[in-house]
Amino acid sequence: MKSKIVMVVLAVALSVSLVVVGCEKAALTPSNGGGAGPEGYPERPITMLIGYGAGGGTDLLARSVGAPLSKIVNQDMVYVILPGGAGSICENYLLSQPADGYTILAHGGDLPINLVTERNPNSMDDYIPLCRIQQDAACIMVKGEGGKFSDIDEFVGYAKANRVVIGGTGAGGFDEIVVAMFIQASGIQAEYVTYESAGKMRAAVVAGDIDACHEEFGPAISLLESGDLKSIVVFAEERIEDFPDLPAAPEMGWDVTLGRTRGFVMAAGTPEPILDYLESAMHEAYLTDEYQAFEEESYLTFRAGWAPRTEYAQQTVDQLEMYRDVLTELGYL
Amino acid sequence: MLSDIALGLGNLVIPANFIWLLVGVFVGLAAGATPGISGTMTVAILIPITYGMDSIPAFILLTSVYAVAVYSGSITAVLFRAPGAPEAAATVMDGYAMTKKGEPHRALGYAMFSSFLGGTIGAIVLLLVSPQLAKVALEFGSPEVFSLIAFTMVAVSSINVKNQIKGLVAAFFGLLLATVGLDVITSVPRYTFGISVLQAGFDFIPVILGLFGVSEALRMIQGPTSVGRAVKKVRTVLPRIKEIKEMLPTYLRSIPIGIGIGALPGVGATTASFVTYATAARVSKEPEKFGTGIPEGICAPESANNAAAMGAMVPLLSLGIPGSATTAVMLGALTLHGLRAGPLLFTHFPEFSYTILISAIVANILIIVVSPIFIRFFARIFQIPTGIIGTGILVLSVVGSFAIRNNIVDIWIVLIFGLLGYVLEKHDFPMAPIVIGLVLGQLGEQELRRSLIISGGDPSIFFVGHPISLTFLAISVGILLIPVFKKLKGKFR
Repeated sequence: MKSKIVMVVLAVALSVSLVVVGCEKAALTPSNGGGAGPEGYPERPITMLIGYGAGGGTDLLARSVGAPLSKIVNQDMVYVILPGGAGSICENYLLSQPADGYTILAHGGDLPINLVTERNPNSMDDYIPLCRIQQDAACIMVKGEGGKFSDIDEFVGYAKANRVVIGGTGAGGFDEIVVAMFIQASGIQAEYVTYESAGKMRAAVVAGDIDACHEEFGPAISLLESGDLKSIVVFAEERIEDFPDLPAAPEMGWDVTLGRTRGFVMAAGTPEPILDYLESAMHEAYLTDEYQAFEEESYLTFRAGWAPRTEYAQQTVDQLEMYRDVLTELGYL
Repeated sequence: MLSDIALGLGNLVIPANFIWLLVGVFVGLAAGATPGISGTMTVAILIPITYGMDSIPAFILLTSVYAVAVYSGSITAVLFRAPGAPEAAATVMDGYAMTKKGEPHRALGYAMFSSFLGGTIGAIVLLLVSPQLAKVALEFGSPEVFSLIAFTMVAVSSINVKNQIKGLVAAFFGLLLATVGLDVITSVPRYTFGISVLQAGFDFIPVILGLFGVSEALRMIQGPTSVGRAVKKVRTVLPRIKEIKEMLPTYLRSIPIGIGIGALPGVGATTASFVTYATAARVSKEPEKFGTGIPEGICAPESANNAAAMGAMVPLLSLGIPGSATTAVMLGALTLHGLRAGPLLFTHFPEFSYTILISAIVANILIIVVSPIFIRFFARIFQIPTGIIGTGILVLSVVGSFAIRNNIVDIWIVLIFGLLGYVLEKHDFPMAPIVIGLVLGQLGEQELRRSLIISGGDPSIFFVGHPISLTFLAISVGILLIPVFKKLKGKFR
């Protein structure tokens, strides 16, 4: 009798867990069957690798592109989060998988940096940048209401006479590189301090613990709107429509226009027809209303996002060279 | 505000919404009680499902999963010494010890009641004074958090160990483990021995599942342990009124600490549970009893972690800054639903905000209603011979460790730490300081070094102009000096 109950309980538990597993798939799978690509590709689910924490910018990129992409290629997407080492662990893992088009790396922009710093021991030739989806624009933000600085001139004026602290996320990564370029270009006395979460960094600026931070619009937008944070300069070629009063770095005579790029990367050796097919499928996914609405809501529309394979590959190689120079100057290499 | 609360309640009694709440509670219970599946992961997995839903039912579901998963990790922590979620790690110590004494029903009851109480009070506080609390939390900068952690580490040293030196060795071993991986400030690899995946450091879950779960499983496989004999029937027995009264000082201390720590950006419920456990041991008249299965050792961390989970929503909702890993995922979910967490959320979307807060309160209350049914599922397991249970725990621990970040090295880590835990416990090394060192070491080191970068290398940042930090450090020094004074007093008498 008792063992019967155990069995029933087990059966219920197992079926519930099966249903739960099914739920996720149901939400993502339009229908099953052979793909529309070369030689029936994709004939099984495609894995998207995410090298950063759940809910972060790269995770959201993968899922917001992955949902329409899944419908276009008529296959499931499986999201695998493998965080750590500024995305380098995940970059390594991509190369350990067969280069058959079934594993795609969601790239948060750190690959060239990781290659230069050798956190990732491979070389650029091992990777094929497939397409760029987002090109973010970042700012220097300071405390808004009750803060010390009302604009960039005040900040620079103060920071030339006094030491200031500028926060960012990651060590020897993208934020630190941009901040270092900014410090050098503007001639201020500043030190970079890293935070393990961007939220904590924003809190430190609002609380007045640090003087400024390097941050993108999207994640900080609510604090910008409420006046707790204030952007004083944007790192872009020109001013941004939504923020017409915010000066762009080149106006100040600083050649700092670097924005975080996010896109998708494949392993070298992936068959050419599959790359072509995925590239156009990605473009289609990028253009869907679903994805565009996400970009709109996340404030990612300030700069041209989409770039095809050739352009994205060239940009990544250019970044690699530039990072090598900057990181050498910073003493990281 | 009252009309908004009424509106929120009204939304919740709509059957469709209430069903989502119940679904959330059950999913949260199941996920939290499964080692390796944390609340953070479950919420992340559920987000795509909520794409097609309205924002209100979507967040009723996510909030209730989040609130309940923090509790249910304690069920496996109490019964099998394998915490189902990181937040329950501190509950293992006294929870499992109480089970070993043959009283799993009492341990489960204390955990359940404490979670309910801490979570409900936390959610009510969240509803009433979120913006004010967020402002207070901002007073805690890097120096303050470092001093809080220093204080906790000192307080932990008073948790009873048979041999004080062994306790210190364990604590330093935990701190050493925390240093493995890419140094967060300079990105230099430390103790990675060229193994790429170690760059991310030791994840806390495989280590704790190894030290506690696997080592116990090894003992179970060896032959019937005291647990098998002691535990005949598992049910939940709520603590009696008298027992609750006895726990009142613990609750009065732990719940506010829990809410407060939860509200600090980037700290979270796991830290809160260890801080309150250490504090409870510190203020106790009988600190030597901690770890032997006393109710204080369950009530302090269990009330604090649920309170902290609610506290972590304070900076999320009022500043758009997540207080913990799970709330960071929820922030992403809000964005995907076109909502913006932050100071303006309550003004722009009062109906949404208050419905979510009310559902957080109700989810916490439902813990006490629903979980006894759920625990019955587990009850039957003890009829299986301990050897087989042991194997089951072993399998769950290994699978759970792998599931955390899909990293094959974590399987080796859980097994190695299982053996290590087995050997260390045979030689009377306490496990608690190892775990606390690992959990708090990393955060403590970061905050210390960040403080010094901010101050330009000047250590006075911990004292001058930072009264909160100064207070914590002064208390810590006091704790360290008490034995010295006692000795001196004895000498001069």
